[in-house]
Order: sequence, then C-alpha cells, then structure tokens
Amino acid sequence: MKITVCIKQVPDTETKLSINNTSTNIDTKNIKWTINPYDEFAIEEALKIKASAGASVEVISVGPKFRVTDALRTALAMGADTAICIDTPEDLFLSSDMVAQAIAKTLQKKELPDLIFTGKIGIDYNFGLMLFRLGKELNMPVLSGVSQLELKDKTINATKEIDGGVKQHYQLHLPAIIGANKGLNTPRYPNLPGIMKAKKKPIEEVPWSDLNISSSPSFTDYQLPGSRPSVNILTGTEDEQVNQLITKLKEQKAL
Amino acid sequence: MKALICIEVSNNKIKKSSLESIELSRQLNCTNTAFLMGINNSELTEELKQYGFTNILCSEKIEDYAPEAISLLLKQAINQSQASIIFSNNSLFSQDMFFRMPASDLQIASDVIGVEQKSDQIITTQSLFSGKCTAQFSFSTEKIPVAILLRANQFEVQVQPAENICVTVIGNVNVANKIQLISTSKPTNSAKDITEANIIIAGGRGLKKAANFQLLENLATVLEAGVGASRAVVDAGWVSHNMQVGQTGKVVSPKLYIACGISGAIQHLAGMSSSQIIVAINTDADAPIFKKANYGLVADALSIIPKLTKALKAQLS
Repeated sequence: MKITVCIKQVPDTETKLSINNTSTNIDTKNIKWTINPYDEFAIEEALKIKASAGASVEVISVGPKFRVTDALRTALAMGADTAICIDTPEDLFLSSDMVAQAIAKTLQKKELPDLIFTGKIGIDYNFGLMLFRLGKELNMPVLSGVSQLELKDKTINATKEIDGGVKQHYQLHLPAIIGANKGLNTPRYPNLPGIMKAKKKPIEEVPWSDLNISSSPSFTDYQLPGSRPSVNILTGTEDEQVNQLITKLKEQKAL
Repeated sequence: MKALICIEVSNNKIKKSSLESIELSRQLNCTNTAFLMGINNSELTEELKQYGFTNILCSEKIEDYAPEAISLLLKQAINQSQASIIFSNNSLFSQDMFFRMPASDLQIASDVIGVEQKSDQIITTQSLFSGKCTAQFSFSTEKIPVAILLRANQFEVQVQPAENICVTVIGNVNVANKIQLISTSKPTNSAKDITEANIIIAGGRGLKKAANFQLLENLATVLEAGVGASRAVVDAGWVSHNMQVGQTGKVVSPKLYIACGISGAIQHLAGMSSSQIIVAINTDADAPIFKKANYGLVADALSIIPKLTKALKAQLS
C-alpha cells in the first residue's frame, strides 16, 4: 500500500507577525518555521498504518526548498520513507488550487497512492480547501476534520466533528483523501536514530517551472489588527470589582 | 447583481449566522434569493419572509448529511438563481459543502470579515494566520461566481418583511455517494457552538482542575454563553478539542470574551483578539492576557466567577 502525506511549513504559533513594507505579505525573515500542526497528525496516522498494515509512506511539500526541506527531513526522521519537494520561488503566493494542481501533477507521474493524508487546515491561511481541490484533480473522495480513523483492508471508518461538538461517523473506500484533525493521534517526536536515518533518505526535487501551473493573483493590503486602549484594571474588594464589571459591561451592552 | 443566500438549519431552527449576510448583500445592492438546504418546511419559509426574501429555493429532505449530494444541490441552486455572489456563514457544515464545488464552478473566500465592491471587482477582507492579520483579495464575478463565507457576529440581522414569497423546490439529487454517513452522535451537553456565540467564557490552567469548568458552565447558563478553553487544558484532557480557542483550535469573535485563568499565549490571543470586549481574570498581574484586555481583574477566577454568576442571576431575575 502506498500512502502520501501532504505537509506544509507555517510560522510557529508563538511567532508574532509583522507585515513587509509593501503590505503584500507577512515579513518572512526572522520567522521560526515549523510543520503545520495538523499535518503532524497526518504524518503520524500514516506511520501508524505503516506499522500495522505495512505501507510505504511518502511525504510531499510545496514551497521554497531552502526551508521546506527541513520540514521534510523532520517527517523522514519521524519514519516516513521518501520525500518530494516541489521547489517554488520564495515570493510566489501559493493558492490552494496551485498547490493541489502541483501535487496532482507530481503524483500522476508515477503510481498513484492508495491513501493521502494531510492536515484539515493550514494554520497560516486557515482555508482547508487544498485537499478538496486535490480530490477533484485525482478523482478521489475527500473527508476532512477526521478525529478518529480505522482502516480495514480497503474500507475506512472515520469520525468527523462538525459544529457544536456533533460527531459524524462515515465510511468510504480507498483510494481516498483524509484531512486530519486534532485528536486523531499523538504525533511522535523524531528520535536520534530516526534523525540519523533521515539524513540518508532521498528527497526528490521538482522545480516549479517543470509543472506549468499558472499563478493566482495574491492577497494585498496586509494589516495587523488595531490595538486596544490600555486595560482598565478594576480595584477594590472582589465584590466591588464584580459589581464594577457588571456595570461597565451593561453600559457597553455586552450583557 | 444577484445573490444567493444559503440558510443553514440546525435542530429545525434557522441559524442566526446564516442571516447576517442579508444586510451586507443589500449594501452591495444585490437582489437576494434564499437557499434553504435539505428541508422543505413551510414554517421556515414563512420565517424567511421577515428578512425580506421574496424568492426561496429549497430542496427535499436530504438523507441526513450526504456531503456530495448537498454540494450538487448547491450547484443547482446557484444555476437556478443565476447568482454572481453566494453568501453563507462560515460553519464547518457550510465549508464542507462549498469546498466540494470544483474551481471551474466557484471561487471561494472563507472567514470573511468585510466586503466591498469596486467597479466590477468584489474585494473581500479576510482574517489570516488565525487572526494575527487581515488582508484583501479581489475577485471578478464576470465568469465564475464567488462564494463568501462570512465570519459570525460581524453584521447585525435586520428584519424587513416581504409581502409575498415564491418557494421553488429544487429537484432531488441522486448521486452515488462515495462517502456514506453511517450515524451521528450528539454531545451529551448541548454545547453552544463557540464560533457563533455572542458571549464566550473561557478557562485555562488557572482553574486548577477540570471539575472547576463547571463554574464556567454555570455562568454560561446565566448568560446564554459558549464555553471555551486554552490549548493547555485541552492537551491535559480536561475538556474536548472543540472548545479550544486559538491558532490550533477555533478563531472566535464574540461581543464579549471572559478569559479565566488564561495567561495569554500568542497563539491563544490570535484566536480571540477580534472579540469586541475582552475581560481577563488572572492572579498574575504580569500575564500577557492583560495587554489584550479591555477590563482586568487581578484575582482568582475560582472566586470571582461564582460571585459574578450570583450577582448576574440576582440582577437578571
């Protein structure tokens, strides 16, 4: 069985962002990059299936190779077998469609995977659209937001959480694309032997220009949210503070 | 310009978040058709009349939730209404439905907080990096319609009754679903969805133990609020992930956010910083959360919250 995991690099969640001087992007210098947290659940699930059912696990990522290679090495260190880096120019805005097309074209050049995992959303753009577009390109069914999964032969039984804590239980068959959610598993940390082995695992490079994919217009006018007036710290006894708070919130029609 | 407004129904009630785009659509000078999904219910179509809809498309009951079928119904509704803009809320249900449309049929903007029109372009303002910044995107509606999934609580719902309504039922969709819905489990407590809640009470490690979340639930009942949580307590297993506010949880924009025993990690602040009013309760005067709050109480939430609940119960009764 062949499993492909699509991962992306995102700014670490504790990063405070700033905007570049043309307001056309965040300032990407001095950012700590990390694997998109939801993609970690995707990698882990693929590795679990590799261990239980026997599978080869390939990771693929789209982005500038000078930094994306790090993310791929980490995935290889966790236990993935091979990696592909679709190397893009650093300042190219990658829309969900462009990424889906790039991955589809690359995967179609060889034997298609039986199962594709990726995180349900990227915590950078928060779209969650790429995997659906990939499903259309590869003609595979897509189920996203999966927090529980069981694979038996070619049948997947999966749980997806929707609004209000409601859980839906689905069944679908391979080949399929699954968007991983928190709760699916606990991603392992790469250990030292894994890190050493990863150095010898192959990372195939695909230049963006080879894929003939048209660019998308990008976001403009990036802005940081406005700041709030400085906090009003309430004083007095606890009861006094509570009463002051209620009064102020009522004035502002917040209650 | 013609607009299609998707109306999501949950527990046989129209979701308020589905109605919030009506005012925006009117500001953009659109004529609106409503699309009531999966239900052909005269009570609900009557209710839609008070929001000014004269044209309502609805479908026959869809067997529970069949993702691919609902997406095909949406496509029919778009074609029938000839809409160039489609408005919807930003719920997970809506996202799943819209995301299944092919790119050749629909452009999509999600988590939208503002929309303008400049000549023939629709310009959306979207929240990116889980609320750490915003940016704009320009769409042309000339060839392909655009779907705008609007974040909750950005616009007020206006009542503007229409005289008559014309209800059209869209044909039933028969599609061999590759994805089969086997069953649904509802949560044991009817938790208010925090992405659409007007008031959220959130708890962090300062609550000391999982059982103390009950204090927040008590306050939430009085205020009809949703209950949220920091990543630390979700990771510790105190509460479920669907309550997590932050970059790896939910981005929320309620009118009022009360943070109890939450220190204010950057990824948490990202998730709640677009709340209108933020109240922080924390024993540590240096907690970063106070930098983002409107009102701060340097006190123990375990003591303050029951007092707040008691005072509000007395005042509101």
